[in-house]
Amino acid sequence: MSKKPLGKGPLSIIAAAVLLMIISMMLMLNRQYDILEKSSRIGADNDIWVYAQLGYEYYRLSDQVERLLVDEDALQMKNLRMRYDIFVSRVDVIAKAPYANHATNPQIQNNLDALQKFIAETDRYLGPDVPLKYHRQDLITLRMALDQQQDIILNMIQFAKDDTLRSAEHYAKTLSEQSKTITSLVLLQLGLTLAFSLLLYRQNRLEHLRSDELEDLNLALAGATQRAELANQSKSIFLANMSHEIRTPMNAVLGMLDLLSTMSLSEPQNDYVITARSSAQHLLALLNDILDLSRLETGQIELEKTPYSPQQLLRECMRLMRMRANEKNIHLTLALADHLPQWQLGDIVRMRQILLNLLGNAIKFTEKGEVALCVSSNKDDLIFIINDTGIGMTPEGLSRLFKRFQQADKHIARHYGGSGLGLEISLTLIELMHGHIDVQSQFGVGSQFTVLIPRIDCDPPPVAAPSTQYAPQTARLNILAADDNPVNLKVLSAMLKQLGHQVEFAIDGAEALAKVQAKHYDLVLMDGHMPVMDGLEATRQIRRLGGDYAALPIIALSADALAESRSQFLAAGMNDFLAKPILLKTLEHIINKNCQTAPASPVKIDGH
Amino acid sequence: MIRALVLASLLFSPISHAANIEPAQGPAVLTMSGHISQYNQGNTLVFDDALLNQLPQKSIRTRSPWYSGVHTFTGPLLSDVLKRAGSKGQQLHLKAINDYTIVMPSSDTQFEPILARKIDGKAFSTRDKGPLFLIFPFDQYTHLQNRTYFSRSVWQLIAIKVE
Repeated sequence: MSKKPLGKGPLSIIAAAVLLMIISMMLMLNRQYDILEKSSRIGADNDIWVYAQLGYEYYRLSDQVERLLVDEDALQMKNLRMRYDIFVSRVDVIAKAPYANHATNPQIQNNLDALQKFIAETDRYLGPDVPLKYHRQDLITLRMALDQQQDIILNMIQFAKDDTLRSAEHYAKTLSEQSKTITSLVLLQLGLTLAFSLLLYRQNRLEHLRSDELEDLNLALAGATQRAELANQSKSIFLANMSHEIRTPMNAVLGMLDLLSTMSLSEPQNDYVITARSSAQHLLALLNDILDLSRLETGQIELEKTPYSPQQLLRECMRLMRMRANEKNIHLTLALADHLPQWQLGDIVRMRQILLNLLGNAIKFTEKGEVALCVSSNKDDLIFIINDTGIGMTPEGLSRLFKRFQQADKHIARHYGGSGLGLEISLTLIELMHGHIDVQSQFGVGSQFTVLIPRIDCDPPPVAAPSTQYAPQTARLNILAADDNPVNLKVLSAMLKQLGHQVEFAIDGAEALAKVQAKHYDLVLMDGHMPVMDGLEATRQIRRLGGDYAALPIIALSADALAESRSQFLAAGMNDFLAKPILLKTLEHIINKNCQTAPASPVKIDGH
Repeated sequence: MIRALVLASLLFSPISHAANIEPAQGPAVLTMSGHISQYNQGNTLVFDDALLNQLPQKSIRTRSPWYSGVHTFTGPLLSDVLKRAGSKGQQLHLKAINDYTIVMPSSDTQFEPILARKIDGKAFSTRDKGPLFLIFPFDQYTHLQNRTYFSRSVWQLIAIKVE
């Protein structure tokens, strides 16, 4: 950039010039004031006036002398002396006047000297100390002496006139010169002011340009950030969509494998099925993680607030983890502090997810020794501490923890597997719960995860979940399964037939609603998401039909247990909730449960 | 005795004692005329040295355009002189021995000018701009240092006519 703000050098030169100008202006004005001051005397006792008065008094004195010479009146002598005194005082004024510049003018000085000589001579017979007497000879002498002074006085007057003219001219000239100088100074100052204004304008424009550039840069940066975010988001969305799409067939695979495993298979066949099943389960878990994460990222996950028992939750987690710990021969322990709160308000599904993730990690990364879960509480928080004697982490590894797709160490990731999503999901969930997670780890010694979850004590739920074992349903039930996915229907059909029930299909909510009215069913399995009419709406409409329809057991099939809320299904009027992948065992359990607690219709009873 | 009488005439109503002002004995120094109420010679009031001496004498130390340096001028206040004459006018016509005349407002007495009779303790002679020189305290009231007040400072003052 060639345009730069002016440096200090030129600016200080301009400032000095302005200062200099102001000073010279002040000096100039001061001089002018002096001249004015001098001229202010003109009119009071200026030179011409003083000399004119001298001339005037000279002639009055001469006149008085002439009169006395004609008329010998002794009394008039007093007047003569007065006129003489006045004349003397006039000479004195000229001699003493501080403004008269006779010292520099030899001619005036000569004239003054002559006049003073005349006074000295006249004082001999007309002075203040001489007794007044009419003496004609003296008067004649005085007349002669006065005649001699006439030229001197006229000369003085003439000179004073010239001098005044000269000084007036000088004054005018000086004034005009000064006016010119002041005018040029003012012009110069005007120029400088203009230059200053231009500089300021330029500076201002530069500032503007710079701020504009900054603004552009900011906009560009914001745009780039937005594009990056959009790109990131679209990747996430793609990933989520893919996961969702893969999950439906995966559910079917699992269901089929589940069915397959109940059949009489040879030893190797059974082994293959088990391997396939565990692989499919692993894949499904991974897909769920990815979906979870994308939902957390977009804020789609809302935590439920329902009462749960921490102790039950912990025991359940232990039960689920026990097997894996036993497989690795790791000692898994649970230590509960006294006075743990009985009931908490919160999202038990998410709490379970967090604990299972942390416990799963601990077991995964521990080769031998133990994994200990220690739970306590204070007045604000529930405190979960998970200790392991695993491989631990280096400080660098710790710093990468909780980052997406990252495990502490790449080699470790290859050795132990895992998506690396679990910890991030846990962290985000804990933050959603306004909790806190902390890690301490020593490489090769072990790790300790501490989780604090805000404590929300509550009363036990009004109806405690019954934990009774249901008698196996032996009757052949007439079941309607509504799902828009034919593969799902095929899985369901196979499973229900395996359980000895009769099944009919509907491919959306509207068809289900129609079929229910056309024929009696003992149970409806209703998928949540269907075209035309979804499962929730279909249920609401069935319930609205009233009569026997109010008691018809309707079980929700949820493709996504983590995202879809159980309460949402129950609120729509469904009796229970079955999460995919549907396993034979759970399906049987839920049918037993719902067809016993809700007594079958008289028609059904009549039929058996 | 005379002084006591004069003082009494000053203290009490000056008008009722108009005729009581003694005529000037010595040579006339200042002649007051016009709109006055005290007379001692026809319709004028003539001050001689003795009459002027009866008034309080004030001193002013000031510089002036007529003398170099600071000098002390002594004489009665113009206001006292006017009061003595029972002046009622708004304007004063001041006349010098050479017939130089100037007009000034009576309100100028607020600046306390004096009719100086002495300079540095010495009486003014006619030669020395005497016998009376109207002097303003120029150093005290610097705003008086201009043409107007310099011209009002009449020297060789001999008469005041009140209008």
